[in-house]
Amino acid sequence: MKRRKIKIVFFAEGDHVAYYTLKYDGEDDTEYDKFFANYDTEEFKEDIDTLMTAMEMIAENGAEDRHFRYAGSEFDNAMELPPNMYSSQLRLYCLKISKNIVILGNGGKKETRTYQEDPWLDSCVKILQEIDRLLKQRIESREVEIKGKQLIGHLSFYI
Amino acid sequence: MPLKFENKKLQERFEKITPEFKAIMRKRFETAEQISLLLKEKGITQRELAAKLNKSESEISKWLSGTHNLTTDTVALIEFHLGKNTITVCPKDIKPTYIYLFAMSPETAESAIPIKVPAKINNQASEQIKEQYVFSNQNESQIDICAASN
Repeated sequence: MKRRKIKIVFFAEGDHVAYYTLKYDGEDDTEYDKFFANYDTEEFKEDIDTLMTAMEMIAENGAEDRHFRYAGSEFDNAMELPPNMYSSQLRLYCLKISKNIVILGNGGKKETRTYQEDPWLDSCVKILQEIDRLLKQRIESREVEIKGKQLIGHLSFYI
Repeated sequence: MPLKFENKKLQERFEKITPEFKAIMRKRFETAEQISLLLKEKGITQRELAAKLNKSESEISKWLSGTHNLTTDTVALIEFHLGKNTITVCPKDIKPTYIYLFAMSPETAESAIPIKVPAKINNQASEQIKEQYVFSNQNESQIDICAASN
């Protein structure tokens, strides 16, 4: 499969947390924009309210592990936010990089027992796991630096 | 600093969330925060709390996420096992002289009118206040009266 260029972009912030998302090269919308466009509907209105309010509350004091539910493996930071949606069906996947930085990806309606059984949800988590792996390498090689709420440096990847 | 979105459309959507909904979520986050701090203070892990309450660890994780709607019974159980109150309550021997009633509707919640009334307020008085403070262009059914003690 052809690799695509994807960039980590800033999109929201509060006192103690900056939220980033992912944006494919050549596309206008970020992954969060796409998730929002698909699910800000009457069916999921309360889920979107919960998600946005949870983002605000988390930003007030900093992101803690307990605010999220682990989605990937024990070796990565792939998580779900927030863990308790009203509908219990909508899933938004993210990476908790630090207490001050969260990268939100994409997600969707989970209708299978596990997200791995749904090709779309599985791909959402896998992209984040790959970004997490590459970002850790960049941080280690000092191509990317974390300064409080800021992610500074080379934030484009081919995945 | 309130949460600020770069995207104007997202910011507008965020601002449409009602203050009532935010108040509910804030209370859930604050309760979870209190319980989490208490666990740290007592040196009790989530696993140990789960064992004490005969619950699964994932259930405790859900409770501490901040978005879960904990029942008063659950809070009471946690308080009992941790030996400390997490939600401040007015002790029995200190009774408030007055309580505040806030007349509000979803549209006007930000400008809710606090009405100071004697603590002996009952449902009948609440109904009377409702009648007095119906907003000119609102249906009575849209007005909620929330009480808070001083």
